[in-house]
Amino acid sequence: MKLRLDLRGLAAPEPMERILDALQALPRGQCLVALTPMYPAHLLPILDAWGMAYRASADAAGTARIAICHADDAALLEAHAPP
Amino acid sequence: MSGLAFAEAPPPSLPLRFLLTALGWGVFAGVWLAWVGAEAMLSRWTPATLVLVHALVLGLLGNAMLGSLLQFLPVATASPLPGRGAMPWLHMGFNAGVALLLATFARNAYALALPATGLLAGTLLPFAALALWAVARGRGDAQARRGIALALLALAATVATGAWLLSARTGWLAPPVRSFTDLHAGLGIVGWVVGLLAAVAGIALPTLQGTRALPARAYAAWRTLLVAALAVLALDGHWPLPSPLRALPVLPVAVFAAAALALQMRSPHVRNPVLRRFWMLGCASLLLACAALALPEGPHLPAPALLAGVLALAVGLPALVVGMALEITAFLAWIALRRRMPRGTRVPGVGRLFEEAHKQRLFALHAAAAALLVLAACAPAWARVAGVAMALAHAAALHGAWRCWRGAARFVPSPPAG
Repeated sequence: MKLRLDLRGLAAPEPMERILDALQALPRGQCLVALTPMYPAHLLPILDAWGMAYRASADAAGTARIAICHADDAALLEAHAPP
Repeated sequence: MSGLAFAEAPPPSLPLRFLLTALGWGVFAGVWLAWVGAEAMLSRWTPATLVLVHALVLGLLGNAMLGSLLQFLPVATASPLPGRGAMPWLHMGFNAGVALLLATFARNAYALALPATGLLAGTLLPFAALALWAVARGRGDAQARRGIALALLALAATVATGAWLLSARTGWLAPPVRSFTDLHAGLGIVGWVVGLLAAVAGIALPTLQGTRALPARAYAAWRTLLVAALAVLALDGHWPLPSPLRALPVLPVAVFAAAALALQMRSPHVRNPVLRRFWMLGCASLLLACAALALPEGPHLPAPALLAGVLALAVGLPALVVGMALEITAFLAWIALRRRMPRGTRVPGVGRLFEEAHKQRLFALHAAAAALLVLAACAPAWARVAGVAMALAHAAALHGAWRCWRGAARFVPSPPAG
């Protein structure tokens, strides 16, 4: 199962705030996929500190996609590997 | 467990130290103007003016540009600056170089010129090389990456031409043609500062101020115009150029300012209203600076180049970077707080860490200082008053930014109810 957020129309740092809020309630075995207006570089150290696993990729237009789950569920990220 | 550990952002304290130092140099520039008074407003060639100009372009704008790039590169290119561990040393070396350069100009202390050149070139050229490497290996917004790369090349050329000019001033090298100074200034202000601001604005205007995105083709055309303008500056003095072509270097600045103003005025949403006001003040001042260059010279009129210099270097560009610095400081403070607090802790939002009403008061101070600076360019007797106002405005911004950072560092979460 996955939770999907499209945050591309939001002003910084609202996408980060929304993602962190959503992660507070993310159950084990689920993955959060978020589309963001920019590469979420400043989010990644916080995810590391929270013990989350993630996979992020940026496209040439500048928008990005990040998949996040609990570290124990890292296998779920295989489905979100960049092509 | 990280999927892309190399793409992590630097610790927030790293860009912050550049931003706070930038505001500190803004205070120095104001104090210097208050001290030397009208002497700094009479000609672009006096030692007092050279100190003021370089305190603004290297101290204020330079630190703000370097700090913003540290914070922005990982976002724009999905690739952070390599050699992050050397950045605190680079910050110290660069600012020591700025201080020595200003002392060289102020006291004609040519013995300081060599260490000043060594420190500035020894910090800015490696920074430009590392940032270019990050851009080259990065992904993400292709337009922003090209714009940042062009600005970094202009930075390297600014350092090289500046080292040559300083060598000529101290008598080590034969003086180059007078237009070489214009090339140095054009590379630094138009190529590096405005070039980088335009690259950042392509992303920051839509995301921070809610404007529509600039079409990629329009931005690509602007970069071509920028390269053509820098080429004209390089040829001027060596090649007979028709008069209309010699005005070309002003055009990228005017087009950037007009486009940013138009995007802001047609914005479907209004976000971060104080940042918007800083940018409107900055862009309007840049447009007026371009227009001032077309003014006639006369005994009762301010020198066009001097008025344009005040409008661009003391008002317009500082308004753009101070507005952004305040916004970035609040964001950095929030990031540092979020990194420190465990998952599940409620923390104040970015808007609570640096209240919009506080930023509005800071904007009012900067707008008042801007008005006095323009008055001083027209009537140099006002220079000391304008200097005091400029120092106060930057001191208040520095205090506000530091208070925001300390507030986040001292935050203690409330214990759970019950």
